[in-house]
Amino acid sequence: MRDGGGTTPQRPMGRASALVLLVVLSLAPACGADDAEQTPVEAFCSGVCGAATRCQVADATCSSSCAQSAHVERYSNEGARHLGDCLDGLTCSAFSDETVWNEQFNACWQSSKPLVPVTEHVRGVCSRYVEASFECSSLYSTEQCELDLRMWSDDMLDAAAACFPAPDCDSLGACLKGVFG
Amino acid sequence: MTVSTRPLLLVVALALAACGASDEPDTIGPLPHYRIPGCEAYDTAPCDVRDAACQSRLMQIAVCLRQDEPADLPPVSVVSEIEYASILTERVAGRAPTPNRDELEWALSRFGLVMPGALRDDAMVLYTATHIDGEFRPDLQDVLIIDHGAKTDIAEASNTLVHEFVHALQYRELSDFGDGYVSTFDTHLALKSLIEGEARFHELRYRAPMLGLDPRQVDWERTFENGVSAAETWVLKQDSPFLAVTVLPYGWGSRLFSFDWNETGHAGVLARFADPPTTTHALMASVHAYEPDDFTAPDIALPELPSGWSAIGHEVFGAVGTFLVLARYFTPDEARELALAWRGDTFTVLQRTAQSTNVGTVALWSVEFASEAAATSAASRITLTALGTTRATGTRLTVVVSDRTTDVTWALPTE
Repeated sequence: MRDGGGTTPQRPMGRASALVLLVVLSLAPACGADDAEQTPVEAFCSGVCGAATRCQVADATCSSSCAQSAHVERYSNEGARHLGDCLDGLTCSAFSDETVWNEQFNACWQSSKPLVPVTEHVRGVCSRYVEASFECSSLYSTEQCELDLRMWSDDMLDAAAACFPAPDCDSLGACLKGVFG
Repeated sequence: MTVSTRPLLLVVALALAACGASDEPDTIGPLPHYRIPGCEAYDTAPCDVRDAACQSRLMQIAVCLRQDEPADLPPVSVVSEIEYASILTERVAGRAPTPNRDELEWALSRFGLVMPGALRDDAMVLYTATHIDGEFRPDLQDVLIIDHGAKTDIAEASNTLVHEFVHALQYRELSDFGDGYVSTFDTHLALKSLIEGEARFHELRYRAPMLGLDPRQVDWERTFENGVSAAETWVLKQDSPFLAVTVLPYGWGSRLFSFDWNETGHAGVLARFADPPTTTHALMASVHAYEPDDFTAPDIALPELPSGWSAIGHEVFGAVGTFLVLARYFTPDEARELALAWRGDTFTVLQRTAQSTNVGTVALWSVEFASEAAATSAASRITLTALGTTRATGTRLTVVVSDRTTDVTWALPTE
C-alpha cells in the first residue's frame, strides 16, 4: 500500500483553467502599470498577457479576462507576482496546446515557490496540516508543506485550516481536495 | 470557495490593491528540528540512503529506537522495480510450485478474494515489485531499497531504511521466530504482525521528527488506529484483497506494540514475541489493549466425501479472511463486527476425478461463530447473492461453491 493521507496542494491550475485562459485570452495591450505599483493580480496577468501579446493571441480584454478567470485571488501576493514574472516567458505553443500550457505553468509554479518568503500564517497552518497528514500515514513534511502553501492566499490557508481536525482520514482528504481541487 | 462567490472576492482584492497597499510578508526563521524522545543524540533529518554516513546514522537511530545493542551495518543497495522483479523472479524459480494453484485460485476468486490470474508467478512478482519499498534479506544479511521513481524521495527512502534496519536487528534475536507454528493464512498474518508491527512502530517514531513534527504533539493513539483503518479501507478497494491483506499486519502490529512500549520497552517486545498472538482475531480485537483470544478454535471436520472426491487444498482464513469475504455483503463496520465473532474456520478445495480427469471442483468454507445470530446474519446476506449454497446451522456457517452444476448437498450439514 502506498501511504495515503492528506492531499498535497502542488498543482493549482488544471485542465479547466488552462482552457478558460485559452478562451478568454485576447489581445493584450501593455498592462501599463509600473512594476512597483502593480497589484498581485496585475503582476500575474501582466506576465500572461505579455506572453500572449508577444505571441499575437491577445486582445484588448486580456488583462480583465485574465483577472476574472485565472483564480489569481487564490494565490498569495508574492506567489502571484513571481508566477507572473515567470509566465511572461511562456512559449507561444502554450497558447495553442493545453499540454504545453500545463507543463509550463507547473514549471513556473515550482520555480516560484522558493522565491516566496514563508509567513507565520503558512507555518501555523503547516504545523497542523502535517500533523493531520502524519496521523493519516502520510510522508508529507513541514518543509514541503511550507514550500507548497506559501503560494496560496490567506483565505485559502484559512480554508485549509478549517479541515483540521477531521473526524477521519477520508474526511480530511475530501476537505483538502475541496479547498485545493 | 464556490464559483458564485469568486467574483465578489476578486473585486475586494482588487479594490484593496488599487489603494496601493503593499503586501510585504512577515518573514520568519528556519524550521525547528525535532528529535526522537529518548534518542535526542541523533539528527533525524532524511538523507541519501546510498551514502555510508547516512546509513550509519540511520542504523544508530534504529538501534536507539529499539533500545538495542550496536550492530554491524548490513550492505544497502537501491534497486529499480525492474531489478527487484528480476530478483523476485529468480527467487520464485527456486521454489517448489504451489500445489493445485489453479484450483485454489478458482476457489478464492469465487469468494471474491482474488482476480483470475492473480496467483500466477509473474503476476505475484509484478505485484510485489510495485508494492514493496524495501526488504531485509536474512540469507544475504543485506537490505534492498526499491526505487519506485518519483515516489521514492529522500524522506521515503530514509523512512524505509530505518524500517529495514529494525528487521536486521530483529533477526539477531528472532531468527527462528515462527518456527513450530502451523502455517495457515491466519497464523502467517498474525505472526507477521509482530515482525512488521515492531518495525512500523519504530519507523513511525522516527518518521514524525523526520518530517518536522514535534513528536510530543502527535496524537499517537489516533495515528496507530488510523493506520489500521486506512489499511482496511485500501485492502477492500483492491481487486485481489487476499493478496493486498498483507498490509494489515503493519497496522495491527504497530498498534499492538504501542500499547505498553512506554512501560515495558524492548523487554516487553521480546515477551510478546515469546508468546505471540497466533490468530488475526486477536489482532483485530486488540484495539485499545492486547486482547488475547479467550477461546480455542475448534477442529472443523470435513463432511463425508462421496466416492471419487478428495481434498486438494486447505486453508484457515481466520477473522481477517472472514472480514474480507463478508465485506462484499456488509458494510466494513458490520463485516468487522461479524469477523470478531469468528471462532474458527476451514476452507477446503475438493476435487472429483474420474480416470484422471477433473469432473468437478468444489470450495467449501465452514465458519464457527460465537453466536447463532452471527452465523444466521452472515448466511442470510450471502444467500442473497449467487455465490453458492449457504447454510447456517447453529453457530456454524457453511458456504459451498461448485464449478459446475454438481450436486453438493453432501457438503452441507443437515439442518
